Amino acid sequence: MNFDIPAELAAYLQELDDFIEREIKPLEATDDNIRFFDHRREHARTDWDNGGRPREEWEALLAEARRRADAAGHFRYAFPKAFGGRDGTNLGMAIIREHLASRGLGLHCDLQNEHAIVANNIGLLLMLEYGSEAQKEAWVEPLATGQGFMAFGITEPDHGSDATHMETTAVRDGDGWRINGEKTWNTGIHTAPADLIFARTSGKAGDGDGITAFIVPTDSPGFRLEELLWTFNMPTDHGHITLRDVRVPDSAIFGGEGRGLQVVQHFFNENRIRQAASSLGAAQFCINEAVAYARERKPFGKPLASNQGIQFPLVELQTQCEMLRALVHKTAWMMDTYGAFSVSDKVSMCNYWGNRLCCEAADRAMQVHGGMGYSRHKPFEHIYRHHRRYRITEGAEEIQMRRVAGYMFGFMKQRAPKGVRD
Amino acid sequence: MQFALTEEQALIQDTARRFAESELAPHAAAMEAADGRARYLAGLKQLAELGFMGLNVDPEFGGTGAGVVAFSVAVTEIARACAATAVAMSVNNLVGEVIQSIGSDAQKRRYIEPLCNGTHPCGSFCLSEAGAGSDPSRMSTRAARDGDGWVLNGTKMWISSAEYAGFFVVWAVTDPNAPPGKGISCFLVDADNPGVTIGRAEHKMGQRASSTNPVVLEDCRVGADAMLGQENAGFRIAVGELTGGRIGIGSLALGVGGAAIDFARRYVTEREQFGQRIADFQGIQFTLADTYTNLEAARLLVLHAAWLKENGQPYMKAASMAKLFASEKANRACYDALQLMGGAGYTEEYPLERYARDVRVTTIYEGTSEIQRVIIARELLKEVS
Repeated sequence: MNFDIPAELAAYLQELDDFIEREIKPLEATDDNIRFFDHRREHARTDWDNGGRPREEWEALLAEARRRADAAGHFRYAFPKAFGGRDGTNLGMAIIREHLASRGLGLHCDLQNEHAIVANNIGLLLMLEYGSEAQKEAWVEPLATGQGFMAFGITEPDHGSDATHMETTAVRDGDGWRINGEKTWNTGIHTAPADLIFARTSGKAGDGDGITAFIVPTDSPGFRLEELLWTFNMPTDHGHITLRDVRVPDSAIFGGEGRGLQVVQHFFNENRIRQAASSLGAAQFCINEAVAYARERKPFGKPLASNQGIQFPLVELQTQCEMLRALVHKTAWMMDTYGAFSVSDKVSMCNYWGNRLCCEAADRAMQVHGGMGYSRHKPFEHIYRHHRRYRITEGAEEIQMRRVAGYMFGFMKQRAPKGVRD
Repeated sequence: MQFALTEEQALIQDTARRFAESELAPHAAAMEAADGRARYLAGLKQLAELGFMGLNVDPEFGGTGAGVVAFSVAVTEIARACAATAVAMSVNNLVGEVIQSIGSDAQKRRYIEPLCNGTHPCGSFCLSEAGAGSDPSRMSTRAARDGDGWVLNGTKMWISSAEYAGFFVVWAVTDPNAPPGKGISCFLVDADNPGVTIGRAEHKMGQRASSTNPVVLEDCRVGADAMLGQENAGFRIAVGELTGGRIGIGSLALGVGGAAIDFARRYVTEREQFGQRIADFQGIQFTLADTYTNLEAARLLVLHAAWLKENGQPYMKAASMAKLFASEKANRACYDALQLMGGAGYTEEYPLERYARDVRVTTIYEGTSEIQRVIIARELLKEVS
C-alpha cells in the first residue's frame, strides 16, 4: 500500500498552478473579465435577450483560456501521446480535477461550462475508442484542440433515467437512415456543429441492445433547436431539439449498429468519476473558505471559530471529504488498473456522495458567512447551484444508488452494465 | 385548535407521573433481575387499581372510559420510569379495546373486567410466528374444526407477557385454501387450557422485566364461543384494530427518550470539564436543542394520532407516522443522552444504559420502522389514486 500522490503528478499540479498564475490570472484581470466571476457573473455570462444562452464574449474568453492551455501543453493531458497528450490516467485526472475545483471560481476551471485548462474531453476519448477512420479524420483534430464540440443527445422529454425506453427511432431508408424523435438536455447544442443522437434501431423498449448512436450535423434538414431550457444556474446551453425525417448516411453510425448504449456506459463511468472529483474539490474549497472566515470574523468579541456550533458541522464535512477523497483515488486507480467497467458501483458511490457533499459544504459555507454568504460577492451560491445540478445530471442520485444496489443484490453485472458485452 | 389537555387528561397524566416516580422508578433496575418478577407484577396490579389497564374501555365493562389521549399521556409517563411496565399496560389496554370492539357479549363480560381490575395481570396477543413476523398473513398455525369447536396447533413467537397472561388472543388459519390473509380467524384461549405450553423466555437486550416467550399450541381445544369476530375475518383485526397499538408504542418511546434526555440535561449542568460546566459547550447545547425539538415534534404527532382515534376519524397513517418518528427519535435521544453522560452513562450506576437498551425495540415491535413506511406510503398513494 502506498497512499502518496505520485511524485510526477504532485510536480504537475505545481506546474499547473504556475501556469495559472502566469497566463490565466492576468487574463482574468484584463478588460474587466473578472465580471464573469465576481458578483456580476450570472449577468455577465447570460445573454438574457437571446434565449438565455451564454454571451459570445464569455465563450470567447473561455476559448482563449483553452488556447493558452493547449499552447502550454496542458489542455490535452488526458489524451494519448499520439494526439499531443500525456496519456493521462483516471487517477491523474481525478487529482487534477479536484485540485482545479479546490481553487474556487476562475478561468482555470469553470464547471458550469465543463471548461478547464486540463480538458475533460470525453468526446475525444470516445472518438478514439469508437470512431471509424473517416470519423476520426473529421473529428479528432477539432476535438483535441477544444475548438470543436459534439453535443450529446440521449435524454428525451419522457425518458431520462430510463434511457433504454427512448422513443426516438432510426429506420433504414435506401442506403442511409431516417431519424424521428425529440431529445432534451443536449448541452452545448447552441454552437455544436453536430449532435450525437441515440435512436432505437431494433429490439424493444428496455433492451440494452438495439440503440444506435448517429453523428447528426445540426444543420441537417429536419433538425431543429426548439429552445434552451432555463435553469437554476444561468446561462443555459441545454437544448431541447426535434428530429423530423432527418436523413443521415450509414457512415454516421458511431460505435456500431445497435451498440450505442455501450458508448453511453463508457461515457458515464469516465465522466462520473471526474465529476465526483470536481465536486470533492469544490466542497473542499467551500470548507476552506468557511474555516478561514470563521477564524477572522469576531462577533461578540471572539472568533466565530471558537464556537463548537460552527466547528462541528465543518468537522463533519471535512471528515466526509477525507473519506471521499480516499474512495475517489482508489476507484480511479482501479479504473486504470482493471478497466473502466471494473468498478462501476464505486464510481456511482463516489459520484452521488461527491455531489451531495459539495451541496452540503456550499450550504454550510453560506451559513458560516451569514448574509455575505448569501450574497453574490461570495461564490457559494454559484457553487451550490451548479453542484445541485450534478445531483441530477450524469445519472441522478437515485440512479447511482440503483446501480450500486444492482451489483449488491445481483440484479446487474459489474463487468457488463446494460448494453456492454462481457 | 386546542393544544391543552382536558382537566381529566391532565389529572390522569399527573397521577401517572407521580405513581411512576414513586412506585416504579425506584424499582425499575431491580425488576430486571431474575428475582424481580414479583415486584414487576405488583406494579401491574397497582396500575390496574388506578384504572390504567382500561383507559379507553367503557366503564360498563370495567374500564375508565377516559379516551385515547389520556391513554397516550399515561403510557408516556409510565414509560419514563419503566418501559417494561408501560408495554404491558399498552398491550392490556388494546386487548380490552379489541374485545370490546368485536367480541360477543359473553366474551366482553368474561375477559374485559378481569383484565381491567388486575385479576389477570395481562392479556396477550399471539400473532407472530417464526416464519411470519412483518408478514403475518403467511402464518401456519392451524385451527381445524372439531365438533362444535376448534382444535389449534402451531407455535407463536415473541409473545409479550406470556408467562403471566390470563388469556391469549390467538390468530390461526381456519381456511388453508384461501389466499394469504383471507382464511385467518381469531380466538380467545385461556392460559390454563391444557393445550397451551409457554416456552423458554427470550433473553432480550431491553425491557427485561417483561417476559417474551414462544407459545406452543398442541391439540389445543376451544369451544365455538372462543372465536373472536367472524370466521376468516381475523386478519382484518390484526391489520385494523391493532393499529391503536402503534399509538401506545409511540407514546412509550416518547417517554423513554424524554426520560433519558431529561436525566442528561441535569447532568451536563453539574459536570465540569476544562474549567466550565459541560453545558456551556455549544456542542452539548446543540445536541440538547435538537433532541428536545425532535421529541416535541414526536409528541405532537403521537397526540394528534391519539386525538384522531378518539374522535372516530381515520388514523392509520397518523398512527404509523407517529410510531415511526417517535421511536426513531427516541432511539436517537437515548444514545445522544448516553453520550452526553460520557463513561457515567455507560455504567449501571445511572439509568441511561437501561433507557438505551429499552428503547431499541421500539423501532422493531408493533410493526418495524420499515413496515410503518410501507403503510404510510400505501396510505399516501391511496389518497391520490
